Amino acid sequence: MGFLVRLQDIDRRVLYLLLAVAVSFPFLFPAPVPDPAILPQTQSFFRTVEAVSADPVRRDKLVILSCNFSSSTSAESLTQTETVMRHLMKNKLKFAIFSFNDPQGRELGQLIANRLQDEYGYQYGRDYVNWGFRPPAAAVNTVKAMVRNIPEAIGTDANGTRLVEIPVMRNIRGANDLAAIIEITGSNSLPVWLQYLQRTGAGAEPIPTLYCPTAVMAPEAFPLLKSGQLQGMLTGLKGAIEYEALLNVRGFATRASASLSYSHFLILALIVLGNLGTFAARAQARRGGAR
Amino acid sequence: MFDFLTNPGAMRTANVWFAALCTLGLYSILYRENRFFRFFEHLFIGLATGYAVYTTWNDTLRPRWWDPMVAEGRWWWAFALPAGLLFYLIYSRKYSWMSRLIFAVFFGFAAGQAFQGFAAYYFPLVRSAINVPLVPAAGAAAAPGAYALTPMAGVLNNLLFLFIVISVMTYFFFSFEQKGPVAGVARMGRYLLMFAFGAIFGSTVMARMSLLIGRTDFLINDWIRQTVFRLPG
Repeated sequence: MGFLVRLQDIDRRVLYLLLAVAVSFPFLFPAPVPDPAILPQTQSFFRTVEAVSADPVRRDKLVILSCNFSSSTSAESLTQTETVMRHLMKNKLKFAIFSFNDPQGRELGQLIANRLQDEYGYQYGRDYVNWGFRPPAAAVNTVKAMVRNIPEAIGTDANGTRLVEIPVMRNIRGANDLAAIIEITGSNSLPVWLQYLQRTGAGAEPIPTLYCPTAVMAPEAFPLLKSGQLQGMLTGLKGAIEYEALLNVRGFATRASASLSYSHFLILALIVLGNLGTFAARAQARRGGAR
Repeated sequence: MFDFLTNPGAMRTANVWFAALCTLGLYSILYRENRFFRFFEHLFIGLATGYAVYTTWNDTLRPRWWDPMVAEGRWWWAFALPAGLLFYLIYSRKYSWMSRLIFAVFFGFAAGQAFQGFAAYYFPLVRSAINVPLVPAAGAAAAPGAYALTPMAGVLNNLLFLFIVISVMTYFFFSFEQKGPVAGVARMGRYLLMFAFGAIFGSTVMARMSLLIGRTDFLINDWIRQTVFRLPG
C-alpha cells in the first residue's frame, strides 16, 4: 500500500526519462511492426485522390496543397505532406503549394517537393508551383478573390514570377479549375476553404476537400466528415502511418509507429498507476481517520 | 577559411550539429529552468519572427504593393501606407480617434464576410445533425469517414447519435431550472461530453508524443548515427 501511495510523488524527471527510453527504444532496436488498421477517413482520403486521378476532366485541374504549419509540428505535418505529395506525384497530378497561416509552410512544402521531384520526374513550373505565403489577415480576401481569378489573386509565385508565365498555371482561372483542396495544418486554418471556396464552383458538387490536422485537432473535424464538408482526413502521425501503408511506402511514419505505440502504453500504465496511488492514499486516509 | 560554406557536405554536417544543439538546449527545460534553454528559446522566436517578416515582404508586400507602385507607375498604391499606419494611432492618446476610421472599414468587411462564412460552415453541419434517418440511406457506408455497418448496427448508430445530440443540447439549455427527467438527460449530456473530452485528451497525447518522436528520430538517426558515427541511413 505504501508503495502505491509513493507513486503519486514520482519526480517528473523520472517520468521524462521513462518516456525518452520508450520512444528511443524502437529506433535503437528496430523490430517489425504489424500493419496498421486503416481508418475509414484515411481510406476515403485515398479514394478521393484516386478518383481525381481517374477522372479525365479533373486530373488536368490543379490541386491546392495548403501547407499551413511550422517546423514545431513537423513530425506530424511534414510527414503528412510527404505521404500526400508522394501520392499526388505518383498519380501525376498538378499541384500548388500555398501557405496563409504560417510563413514556414511554403518553405517546408518546397523542401518535401525538392526531395521527391527527381524520384517522380517532377519539375518546378511544369508540374507544380509554389504560390508562396500570404499573411493571415489577407487570407479571406485572397481566397475569395481566387474564386474568379487565381492568377490575379495570387499574383506571383514564391520566386517572384508572375503566375500567368508559369506553364502549370496555363488554363487555370478560378474555382472551376481546382481538382481538390488539401489542407495540412497545425492551426485552425481549414474553415477559410470551407467558407469561401469549397462551394463556389459551377458544378453541383463541392470541390473535394481533404484535411491533414495534427492529432489534437482531429476530434473536432469528425462532424465535418459526416456533413460531407470533408472527403477525407489523416489524423496526425497515425494518419500518415496509415497512408504510407496504403501507398506501400516505408517512410518516417512507419518507422515511428512502434515509438508511438510504446509511448501510449507507457502513458496508459502511468495513468493506471497514478489512479491506484490516489485510491490507496484515500484508503490510507480513511483508515487513519477511523483510528 | 570559409571554404566550408561552399561545401554541401560540410554545411549539412554543421546544420545537423547546430540543430542537435538547439534540440538539446530546448529539451534542457525538462530538467530545470536554465539560461541555456532561454537562449535557444529566444533564438527560435527571433528566427521565426525574422522569417515571417522576410516572407511577408518577399511574397506579398514587394510584388503586390512596392513593385506596382515604384516600377509599374501605380502611384495611387502610396495611399495604402498612411491608411495602414492609421492602425498604429491607437497607441496615441491624442490621435487614437483616427484609428477608429480604419478599424470601422475593416469591421464592415469582417462583418459581411463572417455572415457568409457562418452560413457556409455551420448550415451543412446543422443539416447533417438534424437529417438523420432512422434507417441509414443506401450508400451511407460510402460516405467519407463512415464505417461499414450492418443495417441493424446502422439503426443503432443513428439512434445513439440522436440520443447524444439531444442530451448534450439539453445540458446547455439554461433558460429554466433543470428538474426531474430533464435534469437526468442533462446529466447524461455532461457524461457524454466527458467522453468527448477523453477522446480529445487521447489525441493530444498522440500529438505531443509525435513531436517528441520526431526530435528523437533526428537525434538518434540524423545526428548520432549518420553524422557522428557516419553510419548509413
